[in-house]
Amino acid sequence: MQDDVGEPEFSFPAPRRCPFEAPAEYEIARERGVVRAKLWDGQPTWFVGRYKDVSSILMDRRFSSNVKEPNFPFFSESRAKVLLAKPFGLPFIDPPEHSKLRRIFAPMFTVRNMELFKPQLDAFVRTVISDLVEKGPPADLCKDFSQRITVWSIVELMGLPHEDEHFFHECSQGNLFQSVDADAGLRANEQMEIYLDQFLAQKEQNPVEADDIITRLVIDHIIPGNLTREQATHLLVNLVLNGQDSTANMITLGALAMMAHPEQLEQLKQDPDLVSNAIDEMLRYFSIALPVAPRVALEDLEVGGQAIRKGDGVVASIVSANRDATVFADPESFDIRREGVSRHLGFGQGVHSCIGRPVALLELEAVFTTLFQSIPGLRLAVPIEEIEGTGETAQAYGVRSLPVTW
Amino acid sequence: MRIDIDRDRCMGAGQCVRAAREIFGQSEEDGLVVLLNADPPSSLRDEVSLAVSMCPTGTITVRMDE
Repeated sequence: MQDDVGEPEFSFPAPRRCPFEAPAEYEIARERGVVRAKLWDGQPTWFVGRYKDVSSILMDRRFSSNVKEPNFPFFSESRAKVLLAKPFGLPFIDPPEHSKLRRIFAPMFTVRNMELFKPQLDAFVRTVISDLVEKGPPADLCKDFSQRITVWSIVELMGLPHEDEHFFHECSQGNLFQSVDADAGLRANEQMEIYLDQFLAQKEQNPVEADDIITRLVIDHIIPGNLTREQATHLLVNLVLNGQDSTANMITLGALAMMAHPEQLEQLKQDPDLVSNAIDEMLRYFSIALPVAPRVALEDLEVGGQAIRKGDGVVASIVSANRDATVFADPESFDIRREGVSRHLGFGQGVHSCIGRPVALLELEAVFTTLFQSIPGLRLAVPIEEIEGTGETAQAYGVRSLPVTW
Repeated sequence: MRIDIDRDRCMGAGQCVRAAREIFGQSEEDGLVVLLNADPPSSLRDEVSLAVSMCPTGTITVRMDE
């Protein structure tokens, strides 16, 4: 077991030079195993880049996700400011408290519930496509398509008013760029907190039976006293803010990848059975959850032959793990027929794996079984080199806009 | 093949249900995994392996028959 602490090999997060490439620096970690990286404030952290090691950390309860741990590896100064002020949501709570809270949501995201939601979602996706066609080209696939679908979906599932969609979208955008703009991130969290607290209070006073997430939280958990309104508000702020642009960006990037690979797009259009594998490949290839997963070791332990001390900060990078050539052959290529791609860590793994996975998958399926079939001539309206990424400090990687025509 | 589940680990992601509906269900009550068939025929081996690999929390273990 190696016990030395070397010099930092690179800064984390390393830059993603184009939407299709993972940072080249992370290759060092896949070659050498666990390495030292430097955070925004010059502090060192462990960086773990091999699939096997990343997966084992995500499954290991000896690592904490609590942002109050002294060496928690924050992404940026701004991100540290926002998270220390508003450490909202399941991702930052350790078991056993985490398990209790997470399981409150499990009955709301069952496969059966998703199947009940599917017809409504499919119909809405068709409406958005009709609107695009009616308005005519060009369009921004980000704003005119992906974001409309994801904000509508979360509002529908939560039981929030659709007339406030614009407000939720604005808050989500503030949250998305919290790592470069702390004020916008804090404002987004505060405004959502005030809104949801009032919304829950009104529901408590006048609970009307319904199957949406907020009604179930109020009737099954807040009123019986399992959960305080403050706890529920904090969990919901995190879900509403992170459940929009993450999936929207994945839809947009997936569409971009398909348009950049016309032969594969043709295969996808002709064989709908390929959609599920194609979606897994999109999730692997883009690995949009850039900050995932920051951890702190709760005891002395060993990862990939490297000794890690109690209290050390660790970044177990899913971006790097998803490009590990020992698991995914020729990892830099995009291949919707890739075998074994369902092992990707795009949603993370372990107790903190993405709670919204079933919803995100449903939305991606609804899109990629319909979009290119309904608008067969859909293509980029600008050269691919002009597509601008969100930068490596966005909460979920994406592109600023995606101009398309047909 | 013998299947065991550890409900203490389950977070209700539902990945096993997607992989092998004949074998795994989800409780209406708590959303967690329900084992529908603990001793499935070997013809379902691929589905079971997929469920094991897709479960994010390592809830499922399989013992192959000798």
